Amino acid sequence: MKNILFLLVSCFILSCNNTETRNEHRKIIETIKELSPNTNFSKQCIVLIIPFDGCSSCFDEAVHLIPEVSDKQNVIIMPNRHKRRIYNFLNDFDLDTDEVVIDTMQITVENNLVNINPVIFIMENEEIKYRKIIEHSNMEEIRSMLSK
Amino acid sequence: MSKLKWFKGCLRGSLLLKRNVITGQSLLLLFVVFLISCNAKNDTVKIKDNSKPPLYNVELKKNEQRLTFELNSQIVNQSVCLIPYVAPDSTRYLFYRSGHSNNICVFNIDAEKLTNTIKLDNRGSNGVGSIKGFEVISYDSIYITSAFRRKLFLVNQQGKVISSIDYSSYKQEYHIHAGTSRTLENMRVGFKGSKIYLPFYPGYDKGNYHTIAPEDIRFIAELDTLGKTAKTLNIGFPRNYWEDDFYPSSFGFFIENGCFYINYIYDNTVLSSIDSKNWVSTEIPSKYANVKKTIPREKGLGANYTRLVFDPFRNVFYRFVRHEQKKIKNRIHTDLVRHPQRFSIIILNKDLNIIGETNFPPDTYDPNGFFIAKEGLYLSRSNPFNPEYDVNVLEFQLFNLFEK
Repeated sequence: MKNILFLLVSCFILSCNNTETRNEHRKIIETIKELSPNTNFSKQCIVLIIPFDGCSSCFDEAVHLIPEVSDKQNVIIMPNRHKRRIYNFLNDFDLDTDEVVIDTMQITVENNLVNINPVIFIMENEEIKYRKIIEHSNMEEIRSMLSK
Repeated sequence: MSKLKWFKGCLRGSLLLKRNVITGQSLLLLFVVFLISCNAKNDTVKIKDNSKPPLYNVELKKNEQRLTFELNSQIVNQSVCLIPYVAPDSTRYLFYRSGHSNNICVFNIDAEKLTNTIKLDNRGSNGVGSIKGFEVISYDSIYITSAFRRKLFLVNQQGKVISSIDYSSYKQEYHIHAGTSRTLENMRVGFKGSKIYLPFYPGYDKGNYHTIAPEDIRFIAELDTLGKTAKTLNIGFPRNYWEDDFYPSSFGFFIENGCFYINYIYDNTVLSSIDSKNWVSTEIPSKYANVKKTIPREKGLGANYTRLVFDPFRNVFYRFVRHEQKKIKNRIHTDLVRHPQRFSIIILNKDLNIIGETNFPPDTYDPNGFFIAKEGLYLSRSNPFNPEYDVNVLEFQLFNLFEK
């Protein structure tokens, strides 16, 4: 009897967690879809979000990933109220501004997809397969995931 | 037999007493040594008598005069560093860092026109790295502080590096890296005699603040350009700074008329010193904000004293106060930090006594964009939440001091 009760409680907790994660993932996908409505999310797709509100040391590593991620199937989002700041930055690094979605309303931050540090998502069939905060210590792992 | 016991007892007692005396002396000696060592750690801080109540008989009033600078498509309408400069021929300029870029725009204040854009290289032989702040010495010589270089660069109006002070080669005990000297919090580079003072962010956060006593934090570097030595000023944060909770180790610093000033952003205290060794601590609380009240991030943002600045034309100080901000829909945390809805300015006389505090209307001004001129205090209206905000126009509203 005790074992059954334990099993039931565990199942309940696990299902709650799963629902929470599912809801969170749905919110992430909906936010990205809103910003990039033409992207086909049924195929594999990489989403790189680089907020510009932190200091440059927070986003420098992520900027190096732009040329690797830059592809019509992938999405690069830069949340910031000041569009010009991002354009100037991309021009300084000879990066194509057309490849970037500028989130001036900062909905990616509002919806907790990103905070101060940049984030990378790998998605397939409208599901999040991989999610990582971009930091120096994670770069090797991220690069190996991108090369797969 | 009993006499013998009594004698032995007395002898033991006197020995114990003697031992106690020795222990007492040792303790006294230790205590004196401790006191001396404590004094050696920090320079003296005298607390100013603040028993007289503030007067509040002065206020800042909006003048109808505005300054409008048209921005080209390259200039970001986000005030980060602004420094006015009056040339020997009385021409007035405003040096303005465009967003967080390496470009410094120079506006002629009276003509309300852009006259120059100083583009600073990040890399290469003329590279200064990612700039953090600047100080205008003249139209053609500007000191630049950089994020990742232990150098102070002097550049001309074309953005060419004329010279640099490489303090990484200076003899120093403390590894000085003053990469955070900037003007947003009025962390200014100070010049006094042959010495240069560089404030730097000490970097204590929630994870490591227990590792140091606030009074032992060091955050101002003193570079002796003649002796080629570098050290830190022996002044820390208030002893009870983290008594109730964690507060960021943020501060402002500047030298005015040879006097040093420190504005603790999360404390009522302001320090001042003539010699950078003997300091006077003055309590300057806001009428409207409590900086010691912490607010969970999901609920909003706590209050702080964003900066202290001196108005040399009226001989007063302004202490900017960001009030407590509640979470607002469609505004993220950094919006609350950058563009607080509610803020006030405390007005202080030359002796740092409160003489007024003025509240400002919500979503109208950008408290991070301001400068002081002979006609008054100019506050930026370039606030993205102001319905009249125009991304192509940097606009300032004049405020004047009036007695009530």
